[in-house]
Amino acid sequence: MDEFDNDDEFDQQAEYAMGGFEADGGTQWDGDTAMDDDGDSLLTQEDCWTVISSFFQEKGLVSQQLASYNEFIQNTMQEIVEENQPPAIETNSSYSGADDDVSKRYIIKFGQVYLAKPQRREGDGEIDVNFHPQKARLRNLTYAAPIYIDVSLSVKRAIIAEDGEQEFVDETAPQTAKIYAGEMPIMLKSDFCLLHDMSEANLYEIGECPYDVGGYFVINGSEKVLIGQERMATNHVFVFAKKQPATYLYSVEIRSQGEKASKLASTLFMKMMAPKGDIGQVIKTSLPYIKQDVPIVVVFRALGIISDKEIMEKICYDFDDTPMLELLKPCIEEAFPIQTREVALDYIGRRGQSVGATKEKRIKYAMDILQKEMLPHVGTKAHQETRKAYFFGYMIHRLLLATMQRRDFDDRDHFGKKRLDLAGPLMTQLFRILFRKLTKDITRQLQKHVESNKAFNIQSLERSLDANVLKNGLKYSLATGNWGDQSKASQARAGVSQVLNRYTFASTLSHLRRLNSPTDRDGKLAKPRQLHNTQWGMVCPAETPEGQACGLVKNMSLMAIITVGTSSGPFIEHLEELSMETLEEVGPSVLKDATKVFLNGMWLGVHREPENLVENLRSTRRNCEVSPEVSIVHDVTECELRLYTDAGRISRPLFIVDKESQKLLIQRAHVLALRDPDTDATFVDLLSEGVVEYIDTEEEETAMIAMSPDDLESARKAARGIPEIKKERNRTERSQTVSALTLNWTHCEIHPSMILGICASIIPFPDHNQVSFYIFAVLISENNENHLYLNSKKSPRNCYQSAMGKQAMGIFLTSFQYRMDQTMNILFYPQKPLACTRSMEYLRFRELPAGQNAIVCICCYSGYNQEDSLIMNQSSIDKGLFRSLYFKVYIDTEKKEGMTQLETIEKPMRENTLRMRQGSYDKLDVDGLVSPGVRVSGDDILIGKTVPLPKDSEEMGQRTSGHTKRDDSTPLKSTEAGIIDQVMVTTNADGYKFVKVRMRSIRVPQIGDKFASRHGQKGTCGITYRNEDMPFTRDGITPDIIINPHAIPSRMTIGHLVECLLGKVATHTGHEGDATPFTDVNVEEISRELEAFGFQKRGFEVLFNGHTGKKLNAQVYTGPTYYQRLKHMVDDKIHSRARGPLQILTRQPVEGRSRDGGLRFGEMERDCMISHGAAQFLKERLFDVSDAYRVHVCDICGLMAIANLKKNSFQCRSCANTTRISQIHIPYACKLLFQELMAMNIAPRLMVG
Amino acid sequence: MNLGDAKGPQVTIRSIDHERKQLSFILWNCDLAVANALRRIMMAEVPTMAIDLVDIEQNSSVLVDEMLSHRLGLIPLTSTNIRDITYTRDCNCAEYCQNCSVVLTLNVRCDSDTNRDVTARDLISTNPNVTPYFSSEEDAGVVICKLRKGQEVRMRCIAKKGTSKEHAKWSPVAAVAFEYDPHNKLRHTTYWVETDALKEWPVGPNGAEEVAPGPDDPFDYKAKPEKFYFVVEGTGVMDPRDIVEKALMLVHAKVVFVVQDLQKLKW
Repeated sequence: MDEFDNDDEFDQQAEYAMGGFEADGGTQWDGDTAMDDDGDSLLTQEDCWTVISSFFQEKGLVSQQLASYNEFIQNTMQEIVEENQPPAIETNSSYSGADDDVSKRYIIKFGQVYLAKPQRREGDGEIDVNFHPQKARLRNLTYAAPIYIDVSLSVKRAIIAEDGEQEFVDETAPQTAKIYAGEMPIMLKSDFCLLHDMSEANLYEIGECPYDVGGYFVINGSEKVLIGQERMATNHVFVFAKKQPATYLYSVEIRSQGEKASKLASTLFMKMMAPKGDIGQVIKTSLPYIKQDVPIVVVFRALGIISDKEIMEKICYDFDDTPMLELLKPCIEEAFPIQTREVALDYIGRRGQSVGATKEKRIKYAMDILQKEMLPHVGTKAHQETRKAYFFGYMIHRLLLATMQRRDFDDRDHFGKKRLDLAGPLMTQLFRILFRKLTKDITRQLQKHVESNKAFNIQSLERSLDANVLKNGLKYSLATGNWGDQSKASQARAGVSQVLNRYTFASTLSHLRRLNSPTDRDGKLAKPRQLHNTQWGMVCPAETPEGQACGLVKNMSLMAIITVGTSSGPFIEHLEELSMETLEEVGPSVLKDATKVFLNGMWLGVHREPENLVENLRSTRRNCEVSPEVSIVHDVTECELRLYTDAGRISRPLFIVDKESQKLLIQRAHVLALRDPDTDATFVDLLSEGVVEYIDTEEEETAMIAMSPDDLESARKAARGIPEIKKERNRTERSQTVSALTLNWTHCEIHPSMILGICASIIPFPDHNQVSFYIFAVLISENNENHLYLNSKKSPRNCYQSAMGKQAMGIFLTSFQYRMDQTMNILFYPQKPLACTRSMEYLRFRELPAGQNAIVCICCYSGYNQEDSLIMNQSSIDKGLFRSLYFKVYIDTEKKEGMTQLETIEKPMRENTLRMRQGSYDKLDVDGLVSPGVRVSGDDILIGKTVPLPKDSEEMGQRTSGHTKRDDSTPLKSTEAGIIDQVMVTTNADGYKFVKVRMRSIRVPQIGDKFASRHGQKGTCGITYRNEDMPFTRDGITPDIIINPHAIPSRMTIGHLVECLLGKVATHTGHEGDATPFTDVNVEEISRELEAFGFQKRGFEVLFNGHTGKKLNAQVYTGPTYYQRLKHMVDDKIHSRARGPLQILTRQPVEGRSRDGGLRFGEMERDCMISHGAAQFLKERLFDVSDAYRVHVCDICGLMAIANLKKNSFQCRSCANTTRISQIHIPYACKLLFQELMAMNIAPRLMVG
Repeated sequence: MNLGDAKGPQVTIRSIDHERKQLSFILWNCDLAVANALRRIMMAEVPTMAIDLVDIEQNSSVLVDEMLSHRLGLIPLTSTNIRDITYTRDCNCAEYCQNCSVVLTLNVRCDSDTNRDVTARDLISTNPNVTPYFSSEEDAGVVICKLRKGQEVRMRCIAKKGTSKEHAKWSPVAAVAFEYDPHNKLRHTTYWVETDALKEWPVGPNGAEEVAPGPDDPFDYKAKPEKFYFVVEGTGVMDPRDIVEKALMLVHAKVVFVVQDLQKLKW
């Protein structure tokens, strides 16, 4: 039909953008603008979608990856270089008495870091400046850019100044040089990538698909994504109750880390002990490097807060609060013997690591620990004891509040207390480790020079800087996913970097937005896996894997963004301007009523008029004076104002609601400006005009968010007493949210469907399917072992589809013809679905779809669609339904060692080549490669390669005089067949000859192939029927697919049915159907429209039996449903074996289809046979058919005897027995075991008779 | 079977729509099995011509060879004089010959800056009776692929005679509409209703041909379907009349085959 022509598609989208979109459900989105009672025009659904479109236009779908990486390159890299300067090195002044024998000091300083454009230096020294990622992908290279660092070297010599002190003066002027320091892998489409801002035409030119979003690296030719790593936030105070019985009742802890995060976080852990005897509930704290817990009062005294009163002031801000003071009594009493600072410091110092130090040293040691190691985020400089004491007191305060039930215990799983490390922070970690190694290496080199009295200048510095440290270090981690030093691979986190999934475009996008929490996979806790309230709008409720990683691997919601972190410096100044009083200035008495101000967990001071302050801060954020990503949390009940500027917080945009008028601040004018192509209004304008803002998980808790502008309006009216004009409701209409009668809204959702992630956004009507997120873990004890079972009480269909959508075939990128991926599956005729969601526009699902609209009947017909199988129309398959292309790439390299040629790609000849394979070498050309267009089948040789034989090797007697080389060719997989599509010959990173051969084959759907709708309804093809055998309607329409009705009731995938109904309407209207969740589209309206086209309104059809022509007794639910072809195909799985290869060691059949292995007769099958009593069959399976073996044993000693069957002579040497020998049949594995035992001096004796 | 009746099965032509390649007729006074047999044979057994083998000399288009040949196979070729061509399997030739096949050539190269559509118009047939089907002079033809500057397709396509039983490309019909008893007087189907079957179940255009039963009419449980409403929509390769005619002859041939076999039997 013409309506579906490509060109029209763009028009239709333009129509969307212009707001003229008519939902095919019959709802008119936009028409005359609705007005509220003040005459202000209201925001329509369509307006909301305009805002959403502008968000994605601005940000794209991988903004978190790109922004994070850009931040790292732009700022963090330089910071790391600056904070890791090598130490100055001094020569020891010897006492030779010579004139020039003075102490010298070498100072190396790293300055500016530069990153060049991505480029590659070829083996011949030529530099390719047009080094595009596609080149790297094809040639298995790394897409990286060289790093240069300004280094200065100054040499100073000691002179004795007039006052007798030694002083250093410049010996020579400082030398500087810009030194090549390594290679930095470049994230595609980041600001430093060649593809950044490249035009579509240019992208095509260099073999890139313009739909590709970037956000990944190309390392050794494979695309690598950095998976966001979830962790607990630092600098947060957590109070927990300890599960009893335990030595303590409650605990408070903090993982403190300075802003630079250059050191590991230091944990402070305080516990309130259980009362023991006449000692009350004392509180003790751990201190870094101190082996024993220390009473809190001792810590205060060590910090210089001596008197009981002063200490109490730091903890309990209100002296009328007797219960709290009462709780502190045991602590004060416990620390009675320690009354001075010295004693307290000595008390701590004694419990430190050094033994037998003097008292002075101990005190110094304790002071250092308190200053530098305890609570470093408060400060590590001297004279910050007061602040530290206040923070320490605050922690105890929190603990006491919780123990007195005045404040809740903290929730470990609160998403606001989590931080997500993306590419930037991950690269930071890595770069810091590697750069430190680099400086250490340089220092060592310098030291060597100095010790051997050699001259050291800038050239020798340049020589001693090993560029491979950074280059290989970064490459190693990105290539393997082991995050950290290569030498400590076992401790490093694995799986941080993964190979980008290129199955469908949606699976790529989803992979780029994946998050992982590296907690123990088989941990018994179910809590961290559960969906938490605070995850609303941040992570997708449906998209999580099943099984062990359930709930630990998450996927970001569509509009969620992750902060990159901004400096807190300007904020502090700003706060001081706004009359915040610092802790040093303010007296303890003020603390009681004032609001405490925290910045990134650090207690800065207090403020007496928090409302004004918050208002002020918010307005600076809303006009973008400070970064819009900072979060302002005003906790009114606790009198705390918490500000966050750190990286890794997850947040999302919301409409701001005016406090007084309870209306959205965004006006139609804003929306119209966004729509107008002549204005350059963008989403950023909405932020800077203060009508939309980012709210992170923690701030969300202080916000009151309306679900939709309509809800807000009706709530406003209801609160004002204006009765809502109720629409007539019919019985199928979904219950709408009941508007709360509040007038305290602060924000409004842009659209609720934005809570979903990439994969769940493809599902039509997901809100009609069974609950998505009800998976829980059960702990069951078996044989004293705890087993974790993940049970799902209800089957979450959206979750299943989210997993399955990643296996669907489609077109993953338009550049697939240029790519040499391991395997690729491309659907012949992908179609955009009839039932679309609005989010698909941003996922490019219309442009790069993964499925086809099939006419589906839900009925029983012949029985070949039972148990989740489906009947397919062979005629439709003939016409191209679900036909697909399959590509597989075979790779080989010609290895060399130095200059000696080790391997040669050539056509091996039987005369001089040993160990040739059984496959056909005939298809090879003279160059040793198959040519494109050649039909190949199982075991045919694709790449011929030989290895020269070492001169003296005899190759186990096979070698004859003619043999000079051994075959090492690459054959086609034995189960595959196809046509050679492309052959690529190039050189790889080491300059070796390198070939890739791509084989192509066509996969026509057949019995056993797997298909699925978008509702977790998967099935395999049970049979194919030709058109005439299919049931048909009176119009002669035959279905493409028949699914079984039994697939519906227990699974309750109503969305599947609604999609079908909407699809049927859409075929007649010629428009796309709108299947976006949480909209007003309802079944009744779709039905009415269908009825208007002359159909039974619920989508039923009278069908006629294709074989007999008679009407089927029941009417059948018929209509178009979008189906996906999944990658599991019988041809890749079919396997059988009669006899075949055996393992060498055990002589049992080998494992696996690819090796023509046996089919395992496993434990459960064995159990089954035992319970049947089929002993002979069991023996046959496990013995005769597996590794039957015959040995001879001596009847006297029971050990294996020597048997010479040819001569019919048998003997047991140790028994000198040649007559009493028995022949027995045992498994070869058993014989092997006995021999291995004998090797260990254990004699297993087989006593016969 | 009703075949033995004095009158025998009757056909009433309702309309022929040349533009839409549709023939509408009523088959009556025959059994359901016969009517369905006619339907099935029209769909599956009426032979037509379609491209079956493709010798690709050059294909630098973006579509792979297999996809291109699949697309070529689906192009409708006029098969009006199909009787003159034999099945390759019945032919004496080794591979294919003039008697059992038609060679079409496709030879297109794009030299302009704009993309060029390769359509069925570019197929040049060696047999004027077997050419791609076009609905009108203006019909641009089925798009086979698109070529960019410098790309070229050069191939020989061998069309053969076949039936839709083997592959759907040989089907002469797009769809065969088939209905009987539009008012469900025979109660072959039991309507699912929310409130009222008459309102909820739309009666098709064939409803006018029969009298709707009154609400109090008794159910005739002995009644059999008699009138069968057909609409044959061809793909254009044949006149829909030829399709029906050919199908009827095939039915006849089948019956004759049975009769012959019966006669061979000796008691």
